[in-house]
Amino acid sequence: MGRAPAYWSEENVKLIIDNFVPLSVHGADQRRQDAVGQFYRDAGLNLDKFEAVQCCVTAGGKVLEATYLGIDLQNTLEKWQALPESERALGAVKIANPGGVNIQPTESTPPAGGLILKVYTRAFMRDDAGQLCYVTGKNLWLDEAGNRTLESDYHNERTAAHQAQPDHMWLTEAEWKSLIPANPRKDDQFPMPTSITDRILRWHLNPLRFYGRYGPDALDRHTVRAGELTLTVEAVAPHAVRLRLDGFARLGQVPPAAVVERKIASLDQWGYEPRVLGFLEYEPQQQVFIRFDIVAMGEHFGRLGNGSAAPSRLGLQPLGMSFELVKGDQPADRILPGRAANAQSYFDVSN
Amino acid sequence: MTQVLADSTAALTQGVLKVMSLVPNVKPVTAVLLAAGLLIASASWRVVLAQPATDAVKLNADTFGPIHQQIRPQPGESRWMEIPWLTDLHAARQKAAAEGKPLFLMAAGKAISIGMC
Repeated sequence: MGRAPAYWSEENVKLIIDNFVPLSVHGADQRRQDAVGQFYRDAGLNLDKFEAVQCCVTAGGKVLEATYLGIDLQNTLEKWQALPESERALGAVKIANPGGVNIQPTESTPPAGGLILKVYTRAFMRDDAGQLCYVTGKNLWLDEAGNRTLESDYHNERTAAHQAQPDHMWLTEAEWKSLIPANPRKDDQFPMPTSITDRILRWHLNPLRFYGRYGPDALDRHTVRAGELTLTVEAVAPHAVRLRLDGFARLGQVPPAAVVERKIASLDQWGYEPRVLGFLEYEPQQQVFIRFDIVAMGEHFGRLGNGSAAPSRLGLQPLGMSFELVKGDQPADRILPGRAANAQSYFDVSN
Repeated sequence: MTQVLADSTAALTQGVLKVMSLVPNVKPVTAVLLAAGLLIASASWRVVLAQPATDAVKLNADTFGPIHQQIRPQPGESRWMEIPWLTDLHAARQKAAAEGKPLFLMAAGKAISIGMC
């Protein structure tokens, strides 16, 4: 079920917000050797057995429903209402502090004083006038010639390849401070620090990470054929230093002729050549970034994802990524980038 | 297209002359064929390498804002993102107990379910 729009209707979303406490977790939590893993095991759940699973559980650990299909919310609420007061009344269940939780907050939360950027990735098509348009199931081919598309495939309901895919980028305090020149002057230019450039090129612009099937978080260095990021001081004022980020990347393979000529949708090779443009604004008095907007946009070919079930588009087609600052005050904005096991493994990529 | 053809014709003529000067005994017809082959090979190489990945979709200061907005989720597109998800089991259980609600738990096998799919 995953993110199929058919399930996430306005009605279902309202039912969840109004009647449930929504919780998103990693399937591997099932195997944690602490109170968290024990809760799932005691409840009899199997969170790590499916690509995606939904469960309705009481605070005390009674499972009302668990399925890899979409939960029937009305039916589940009826089961909830049928429970005795002792299991569902306000404050009836006491939740003790968990003992022996393995993961320390510093291992899975953003670094203190750091920045969090929300990242979205989206595959586009071009319309007849050459303008960007959104992908539909019929644009997503499962064979080179488009004889099978996601529009006709029974897996269609389980794909999210036509939606913007969310992720995060983290910058440590030392990293974002390294972006501010000591004495900024208009038109000054300097390269983006190497470790940040490396992480952007190899991790955040990596098109294999998106649209499921568990691609690698970071590309091998040899997969980056070329790339650079440069910062230019655009304006200096007492309340703001404005920087422009320019750059490009050439990742993966050079497109084969059949792809360039739009004869096939490449399934066995991939490449992505985005241009990168960004506008950053720093407030010197508060010593904070107040804007960190970046766009990467360029030609992509190959599967949208890294497995045999991932679809492809005909020829070369646009793939875009957007970056923007978030406060990090919502739990959903503080999850680890990509599929990193912990913060250290994320930052180690650029070391 | 006219300019492309004119350029190709000029290149072919130059190619014939170069082939004939490099290989004095070659016949003109052979030179034409050799030069045409070189031109085709050259053109193919250019087609592949000269793909200006970034030019197909113009990204500049004027288009930056609209493109940034087009990449982001559109209203109603991914409603699961509109849900105020918690990510900590203990905090969620406490909230559920305090508010008298069940948990709606979503998990992904190899990632947190509201991150990358």
